[in-house]
Amino acid sequence: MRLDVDQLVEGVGARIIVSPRGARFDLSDFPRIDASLAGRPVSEVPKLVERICGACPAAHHLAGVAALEMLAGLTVPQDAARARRLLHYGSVAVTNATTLLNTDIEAAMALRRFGLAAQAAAGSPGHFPITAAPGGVAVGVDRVKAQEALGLAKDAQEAAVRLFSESLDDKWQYDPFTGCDFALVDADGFLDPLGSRLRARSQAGQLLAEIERDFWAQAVVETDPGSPSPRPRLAKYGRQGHYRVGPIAQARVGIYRTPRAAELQEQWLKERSSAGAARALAVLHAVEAAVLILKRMPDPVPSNQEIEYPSGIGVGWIDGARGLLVHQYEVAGGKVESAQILTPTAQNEYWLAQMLTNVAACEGLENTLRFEEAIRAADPCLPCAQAAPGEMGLEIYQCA
Amino acid sequence: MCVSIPTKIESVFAGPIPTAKLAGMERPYSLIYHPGAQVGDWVLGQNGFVIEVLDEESAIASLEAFRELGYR
Repeated sequence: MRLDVDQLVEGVGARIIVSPRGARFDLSDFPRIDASLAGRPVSEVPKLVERICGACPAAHHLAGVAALEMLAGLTVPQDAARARRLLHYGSVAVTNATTLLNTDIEAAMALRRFGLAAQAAAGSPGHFPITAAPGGVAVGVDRVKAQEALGLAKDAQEAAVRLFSESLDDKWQYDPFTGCDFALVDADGFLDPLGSRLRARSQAGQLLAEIERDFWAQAVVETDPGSPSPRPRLAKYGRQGHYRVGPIAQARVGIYRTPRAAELQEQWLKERSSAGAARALAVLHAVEAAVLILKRMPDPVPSNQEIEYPSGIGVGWIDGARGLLVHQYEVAGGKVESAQILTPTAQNEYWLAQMLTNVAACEGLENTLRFEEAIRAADPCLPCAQAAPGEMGLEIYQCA
Repeated sequence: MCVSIPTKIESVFAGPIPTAKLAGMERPYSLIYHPGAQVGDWVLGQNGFVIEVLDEESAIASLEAFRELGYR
C-alpha cells in the first residue's frame, strides 16, 4: 500500500457512484490497513491502529486491548473495567461534540468539556488514551479530574436532552433498509457498549442472533473480503444478512440502562425518529453512565506485565460513537498472521448505499441536499459527514 | 478506514473566533476548541476545525505509525 499522506490530512470530498445497479458512497480512497498489520508483533497492533485512526483513538484502544486479552486468556478486574468504561463514555461525548460543531456550538462545547474531563479522570488526559493495558490498566485514575467532570455533567446532560428534543421531529423518509441491526448488549440484555454479546434484530423486530466474541469469525463474513466496502453480513442469512451499526441500530436492538436515556428512547421508538435523535440518546446514556462511575470512582491498580501471546485468534469489540468496531487478530509465534479491523464506516456502507439508491430513485440526482442527509444519517467517519448543509462537496459520477 | 494525520499551524488569524492556516491545507481551520494554539503547533484537523493540539513527541509517534504501515 502506498498512499500520499498529504492527500489524507483533511480527507477527500464525498463521491457518489451511480450505476444501473444503484448508488453507492465511494470509500476507495480510504483503504483497509489490515494487510499491513501482518508480520508485526501483535502486542504493538492496538497502539499502531489508534494512531492511524486518530478520530476515534479510545475505541481502537479499547477494542485492540480486548482482542489481546482474549488471545492471552486474561480477565479484567472490576475496578479496571470501570475505569475503561469511564474512558469510553468520555470519548463518546468528545467524538459527538465534533459532529455537532456546525449545528449547536454550545452543546458541542459542553459535551467536549465533560468528555475530556471524564477521559482524564480515567487516566487519559491526552488525545491518545493510555488507560487500558492487557489484563487491567496501565495508569491510575485522577480523582481531581473526576470532581471536575462531575461539575460539568449537568450542562452535558442538558445539552444531550436539548439535542434530542430538537431532532425528535425530524423524519427521514428515504431509509428503506432491509437488513438487520447490530448492537452490543450485556448479560441481562440491556444495551452495553462494552457488552459481551452482539445482538442482531430484524427490521420487523425479530431477534435473529446473539453472538459471543469467540464466534465472530464464523457468524459474520465479508461479502468482499478486505475491501474498503466489505459489505459484511450474518453468514447464515446469506444476502439477507446485511446489517447496520450505530445509534439507530442501538436504539432498535435493546434498551438503555440509564433512566433518562431509557425514558427518551421510548419516545424515539414511538415517533420512529431520526438518526440525530438516536445519536443524542447514545450521548445522553454515555453522560449518565459516566456520572454513575464518577460518583463512585474505581481504584484500579496499574500493571504493565510482560505477556507472551499464544498462537490463536483474539477478537475485541466495542460499540463506539459511530457503532460497532471490531479488531480481530490471528496470531502465530507472537506475530500477526492476519488481521481484521472492521470500522462502523465500512460496516454501514451497505446501508448508506441503500439510502442513496432510494434518494436517486425518488428525487433524481439534482437534489444533492437529500444525498447529504443520507450521508449524515449513516455518519461515516469522514470530514464530509460533519459539513454544514450544502457544503459537503458532493461529486456524483454516473457510470454504465 | 478513516485516518487522522498531524500537521503544523503555519499562520493564525485573529478574530472573534480565531482561525489557522495548516500546512498543506487550503481552507481556514477554526480554533474555537483551541484559541491559544500558535504557529508551529502540531495539530489534528477535521472538517475545518482544529480538534486537537499534540505535543511534538505525540505528533512524531503518529507520523511514524503512518510510515510503518507504508504511507509515504
